[in-house]
Amino acid sequence: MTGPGDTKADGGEFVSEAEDLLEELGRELQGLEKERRQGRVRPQGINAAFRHVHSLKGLSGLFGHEHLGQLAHILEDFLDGLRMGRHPLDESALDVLFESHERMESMVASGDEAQAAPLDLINRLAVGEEKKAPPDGRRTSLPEDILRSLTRYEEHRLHASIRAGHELWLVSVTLPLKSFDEDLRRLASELNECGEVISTLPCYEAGDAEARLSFRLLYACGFDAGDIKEFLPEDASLEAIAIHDPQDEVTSVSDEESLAGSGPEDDVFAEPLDRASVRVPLERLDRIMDVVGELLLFRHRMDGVSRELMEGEETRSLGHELHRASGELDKKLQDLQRSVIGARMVPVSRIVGRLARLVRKMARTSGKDILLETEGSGTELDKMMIDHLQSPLIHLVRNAIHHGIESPLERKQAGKAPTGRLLLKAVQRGNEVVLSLSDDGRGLDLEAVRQTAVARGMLEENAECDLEVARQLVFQPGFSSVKEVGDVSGRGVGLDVVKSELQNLGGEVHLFSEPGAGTTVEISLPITLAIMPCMVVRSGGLDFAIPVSGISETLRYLQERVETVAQRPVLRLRGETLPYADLRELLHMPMVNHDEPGFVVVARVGAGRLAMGVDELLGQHEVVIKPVGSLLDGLPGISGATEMGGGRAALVLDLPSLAAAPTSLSGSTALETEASP
Amino acid sequence: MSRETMNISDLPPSQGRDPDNVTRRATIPVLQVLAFRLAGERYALDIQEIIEILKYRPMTPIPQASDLIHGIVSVRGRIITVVDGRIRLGLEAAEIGPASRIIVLRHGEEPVGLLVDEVLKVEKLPVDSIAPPPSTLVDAAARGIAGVCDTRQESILILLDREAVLNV
Repeated sequence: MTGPGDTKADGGEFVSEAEDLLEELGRELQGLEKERRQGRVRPQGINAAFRHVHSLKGLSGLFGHEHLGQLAHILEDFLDGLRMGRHPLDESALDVLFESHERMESMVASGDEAQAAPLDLINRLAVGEEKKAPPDGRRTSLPEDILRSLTRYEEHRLHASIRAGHELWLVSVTLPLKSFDEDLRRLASELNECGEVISTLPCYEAGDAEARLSFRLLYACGFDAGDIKEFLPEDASLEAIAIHDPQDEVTSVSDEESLAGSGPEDDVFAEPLDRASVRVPLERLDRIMDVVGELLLFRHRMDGVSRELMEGEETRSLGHELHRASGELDKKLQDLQRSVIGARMVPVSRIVGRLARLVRKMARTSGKDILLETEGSGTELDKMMIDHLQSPLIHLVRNAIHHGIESPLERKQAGKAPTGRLLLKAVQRGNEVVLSLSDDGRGLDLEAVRQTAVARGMLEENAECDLEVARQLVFQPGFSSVKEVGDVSGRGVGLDVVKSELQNLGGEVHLFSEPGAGTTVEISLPITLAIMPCMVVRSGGLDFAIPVSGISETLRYLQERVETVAQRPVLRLRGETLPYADLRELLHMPMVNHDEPGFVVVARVGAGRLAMGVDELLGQHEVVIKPVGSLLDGLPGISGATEMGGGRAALVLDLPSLAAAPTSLSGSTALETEASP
Repeated sequence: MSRETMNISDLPPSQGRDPDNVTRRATIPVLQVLAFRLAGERYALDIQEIIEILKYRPMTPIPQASDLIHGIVSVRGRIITVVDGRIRLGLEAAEIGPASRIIVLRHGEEPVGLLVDEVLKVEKLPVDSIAPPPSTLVDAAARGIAGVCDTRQESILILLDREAVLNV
């Protein structure tokens, strides 16, 4: 891709790879903190963190980032100490881990050499090396061959499990050669749910069928055999390992000389690394998407040609053949388009790391105890959406911590658990992803909202302010219920900014609140903005694309269906009366000749519907929507543009703003005249 | 690029930034501009502001947009807004002819087009030959006129300020 001398590109590669590793590390640290709170730290988390730091060390070395390398090196030792049980994962260990993570992030962001050597952190990470846990004297009935093949780390885990009072089991399974990789991984992950697979050992017993492999898994957990059996394939066998008290026997197994060959590192890297992927700048995917879009347009032209050919006497069969070929091409192109869209998808968890750190930091500075939990963070969204979601979500988290969650004392008095909970939940619903951020804090303070609104002149002095009114008010521009510009929240921007940012992404925001019990902000977003099925219509000689999701039906225009109610045109449709306007009027286009429109598009707008007259329906297309550029920003009725072939552009209509625009005929309250169906 | 585009950004950057190294060696710095015609007058823009020059192509007019906006056009997958140069400068409306061109300019992160009657040539102007707009032209700044230059060989060249011109 890039030549060896291309240092700039290499720099970019370093940054994006390092950022990825740091993001994953951040996620592991967050997980560790949560597990520590629950008193159940899984060694897998420490191992994963160790792996990421190790990779980061290698990466820094490769690109000559000396300070980052130093910090990664000492951090790797520190994590190694944690996983080997040389020192405990306590609050101070977590602090230094989080701080190191943050420092590494700023080093990557600003370029290594701009930063001083991180001596303070190096010193803190270097202490505590000597707090080694005493080796456990107890022995097990494990066969010698197994004991010999345990790595030093597995050895450590074995003793830790014995110390924790877990029972030990030896699970023997035989798996088909074809799928043993996957089967084994699945089994291990199921077993890890409620225990720990300490070691996986292949068996070299002869006599077995060639197409199968046998394994023994050394497993520690608190359950009895019956429970474990549920996870196991039917032909698996289970053997309990007896643990002897040190009084009975004196031989020590922690004698390091007795351990065979394997170094301390091998097993950590044995976990499957998700490195079978490439990093691609989003612009490249955009470009591919554009090309696919253009190809689809060529396809439509081919269709036109084939239709013409089919009409000619001599060219009919040729035309049919071209038509078939073009149909096949269309299918493949749509496949291609779906794949490109798929490549743009990233899980919501991408932003969770940053939010978690924000929560941790804010909890510290505000003296509150807060736990961020996530649900459905594997839900995928377009990368572009994820990038743009970051700042609104940060804002919402700030709000929740600042205004929602109470201090531990207040919570106690209210009969709540001292730890406040923030839950970020993501669910996919059709072509939408619904993200919700809930806190279990004090809820919307109606009286405070009322007073602020009155002070801002947004509400009459003695007006009532119920929940519904408050929900509207907080999204109004200029409303911010913080009295002073706070340290952590309320920097002069309010929920109105969040709302408009999300609307720019095609999303909607709703706020639910229950006094005393908490607040939930729900955001619904289209999975991707990059492509949208649209109905293309012609009106006044121009082509417009209308998102299919906003169309409830299309019909032929019939003069007798249109009447007026209070001088405003309406369309009668199956006993309903819908506000009606010609699209040319809605867009204030010249009505050169007052031709009757050919068709009517019935659009869904909010809770109501709007009937629009158009000249022609040109059919449904998968449309790649592009921004129209800053000079045309804020133009009512238009949300973007799309290419129609040959450099021609069509405007994509924005139904809500189109319906809200005042027109000479329908007035600004067009939608309110409709009786809800 | 295809025949119909002349891509200035294809030039090596050193030439684009410092043409022929003239700025360093000569005693008088030189501004390299692209001269074009609008309603019979000669105008110019700093060449560094220009991405490419396109032949005129049919455009999509934008309902409800200001008159200054001639329309939008898709160029290699990007939607470009085109400002009508004549209307922007308070001249009579554009007549599209075979010589009509769209000068694509940098406008922050996005390209924006300026519709002109004809592209003339690239000229090097010694900066001391550039004078402020005549004082009688009171709305010079609003129109986007940064200065004038009398090269004594041809009619006066009117220098435009890209940012002001595109501030519509």
